[in-house]
Amino acid sequence: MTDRQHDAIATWERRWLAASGMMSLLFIIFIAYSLAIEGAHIAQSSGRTSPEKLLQAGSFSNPAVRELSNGKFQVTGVAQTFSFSPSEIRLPVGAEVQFFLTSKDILHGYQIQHTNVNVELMPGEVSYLSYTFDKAGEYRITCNEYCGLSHQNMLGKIVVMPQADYAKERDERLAAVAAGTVNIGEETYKANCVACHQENGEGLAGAFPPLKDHAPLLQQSQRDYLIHVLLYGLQGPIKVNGANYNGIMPAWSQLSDEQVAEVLNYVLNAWGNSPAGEAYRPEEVAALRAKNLKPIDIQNMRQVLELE
Amino acid sequence: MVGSIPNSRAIADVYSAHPEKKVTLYFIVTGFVALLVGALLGPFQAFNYAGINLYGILKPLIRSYYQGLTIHGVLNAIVFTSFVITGLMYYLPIRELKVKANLTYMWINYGVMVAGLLIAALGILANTSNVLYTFYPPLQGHWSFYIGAALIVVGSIMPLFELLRLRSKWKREHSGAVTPIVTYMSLMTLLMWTLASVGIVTEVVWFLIPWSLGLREGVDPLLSRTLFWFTAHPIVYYWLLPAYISWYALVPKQAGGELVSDSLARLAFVMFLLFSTPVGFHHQFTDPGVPAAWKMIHSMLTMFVGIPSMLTAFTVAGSLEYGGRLRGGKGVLGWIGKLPWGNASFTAQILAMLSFIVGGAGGIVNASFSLNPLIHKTAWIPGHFHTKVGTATTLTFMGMTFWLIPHLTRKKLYSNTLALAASWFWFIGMMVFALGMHWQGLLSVPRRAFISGMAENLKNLYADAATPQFITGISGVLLLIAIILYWTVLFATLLAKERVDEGQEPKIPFVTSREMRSEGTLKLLDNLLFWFIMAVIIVLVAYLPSLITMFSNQIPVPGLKPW
Repeated sequence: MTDRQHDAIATWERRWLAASGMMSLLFIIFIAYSLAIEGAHIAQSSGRTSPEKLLQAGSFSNPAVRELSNGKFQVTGVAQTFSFSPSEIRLPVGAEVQFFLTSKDILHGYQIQHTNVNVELMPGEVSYLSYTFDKAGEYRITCNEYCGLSHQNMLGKIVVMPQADYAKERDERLAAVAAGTVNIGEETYKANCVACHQENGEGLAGAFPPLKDHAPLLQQSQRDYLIHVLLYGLQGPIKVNGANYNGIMPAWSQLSDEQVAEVLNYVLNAWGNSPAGEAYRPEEVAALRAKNLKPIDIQNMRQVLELE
Repeated sequence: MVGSIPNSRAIADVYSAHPEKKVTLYFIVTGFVALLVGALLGPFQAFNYAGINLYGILKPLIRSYYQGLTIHGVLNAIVFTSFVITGLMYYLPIRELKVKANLTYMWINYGVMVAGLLIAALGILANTSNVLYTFYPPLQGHWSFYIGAALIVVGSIMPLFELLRLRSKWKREHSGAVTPIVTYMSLMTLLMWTLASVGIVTEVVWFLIPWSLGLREGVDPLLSRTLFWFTAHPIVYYWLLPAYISWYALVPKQAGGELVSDSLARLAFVMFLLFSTPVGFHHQFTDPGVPAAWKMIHSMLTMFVGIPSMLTAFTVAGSLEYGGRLRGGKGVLGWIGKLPWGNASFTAQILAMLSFIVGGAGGIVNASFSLNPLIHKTAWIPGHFHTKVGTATTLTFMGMTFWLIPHLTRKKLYSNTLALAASWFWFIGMMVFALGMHWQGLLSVPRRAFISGMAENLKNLYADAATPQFITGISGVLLLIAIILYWTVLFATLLAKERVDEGQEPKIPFVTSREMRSEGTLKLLDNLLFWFIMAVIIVLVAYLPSLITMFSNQIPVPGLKPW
């Protein structure tokens, strides 16, 4: 290579280096600027303690959407394999929502379609962010952190509707609750159970057992067993109708006594099932809480039933 | 592994002049066999992202999409890369320095890594460790998974010590001379990787192995993730820099040219040593437990690590242009046509470079604190890294095998034409895959999701992504063809019986280099200890405050095996 060629290359080399540096600097300025003007959707920590304490304390013991007095909304959400609670959030257009989110067991993700909301949910950690929903429509919430065999079915939904529609729906629901015509069991099932046990109650082969034709047998064998499964979960291989299942049933202790009782009653009456006993009552659920049981203990309890 | 050989005398002849050839061959071939298994699972995943579930035909060997994905990630990103890179990091410097290496040490290194591979395979194949290659706790794999992975990482660091020894021996014999370029780059790569691996080694050895053996009740998920990403961003430079070594120091020769700027090449590697590691928080932009200010600092540092890649683009393109002009190319772009496009090894690596440009642009998006949430953990991310490690690195290594395997074995490349076809199919397949996946990511389709096996009531959930899903499916077919072509060439070459006479095999295409005096800037660049200490200081500044906070506020969480 001649000296002239070498010098020409060296000149352009310096220019290129300077241009690359300038480009990086420019990117950094853009990033800082955009964060400064709209960075509320960036997740921040709003507390850190042991997962059990977090779930017993405050609003995480009853995950919900709450309308605050200043017209804003607050979502306290809990994720666990393989569902979000609440799984469906209904809002009026223009709603400014504060999200407080955590996980009960392992890592999960929380991404809201069409938005920049994308946050990691960790056990023991409260993620905080806020977002204003300016457009009506349906927004899918996906768990985008791998969390096990049914990860792909871990989904939620946000429905943003015109103000008038929202007000009408809210009033109708309040009236229905007052009149006692809401099917709490069906609502609870659709929000929490379909990801694994499916809408038809047939479960998923190999992982999640069917409830259709099977739940009444369990009730018949031992009435308290089903309540235990909901409150404490179930882990370890089981057999139903000769087929093996080895998914994980998480504990659903964050559901209210009424929700636990009603979802069982729903399952025992759906898909052609007929209950093998009286309907479950919230007091029965309350009486079985506060035991220190692990999912593996419930598997032992099941083996005693001798259904396999 | 080398196929059927007429008699043992012949083998001895092949390797007698350079016995390090044999162990190098073992490293390279083991890496590529692992890649074959991992890559064959790739089209299944591409079809998954086209909504087509073919996992039924893999049963009972592979029991779920997620087990398949774990195998794909571990074999391709950890096993394949470590084996091939370790082989290259030994062989190229040894031949450049013209020194005798400690063969026993190299074989022990190979043994450590094979043991790691076999042990990790226990847990993965038994369906007890479907933790994917990021293995975030509280997902809990079998202990064999963690111990196997740790052994592979230890093995990947081992070449550093032998190389340091060989360099100082060479320096004693060449007093006042600067370290030759390939050795210099290899050492920088290994120094960077050794510093970076501190995170994952701490995570696995201190936390995960005792935890998986039941000696620890739980581990802190945030601390584990932070230690993981301490290593797992720079690991991409560990994958990339050996490809850069080929681009800087070998490809220009194959193009008929020279490396146009030796010192700029060294500067780029110094910058990689300094800036590769203190950037991990850009993988944790959505983690609540990392303060925003630290995320911003890491975002800025990541922008700076783009600079050495820009330098590489300049120097490599300049070197190629020089080669093209020496071959008679005229005009602004006329030199491009004069490059040796018929040479599969050359073309594969140029295509790898093109893919790297696509990946680099996407990488700037990933590293932007404000843009990242749009694509974080969506299908965009695998789209991105298949242009980088999946093509820039892998296709470069494939291209290198087209001269390296004949060089090591003295067997002729089975077919240059098939090798060329494999390279183009791989490149085009990966570009199509990247298009489909980036696009799906923008529509917020999550990564690592068995979307072809959704529950009945959710079947049409991603209907809005039908077009990019179709595109992703096409890429699965193209890549399957590429796999068949490439491994046909590789195995047919390895299993051939005939060897060419000694001296007739392809030579290592080192760029011509004259011995340079160690003075001025070059002397400073050649001071490895100084740069390593600087790198340690930057890493401490970028990580130590956060790590101290995290270590002193741990919330141990028990493990779960939800598969």
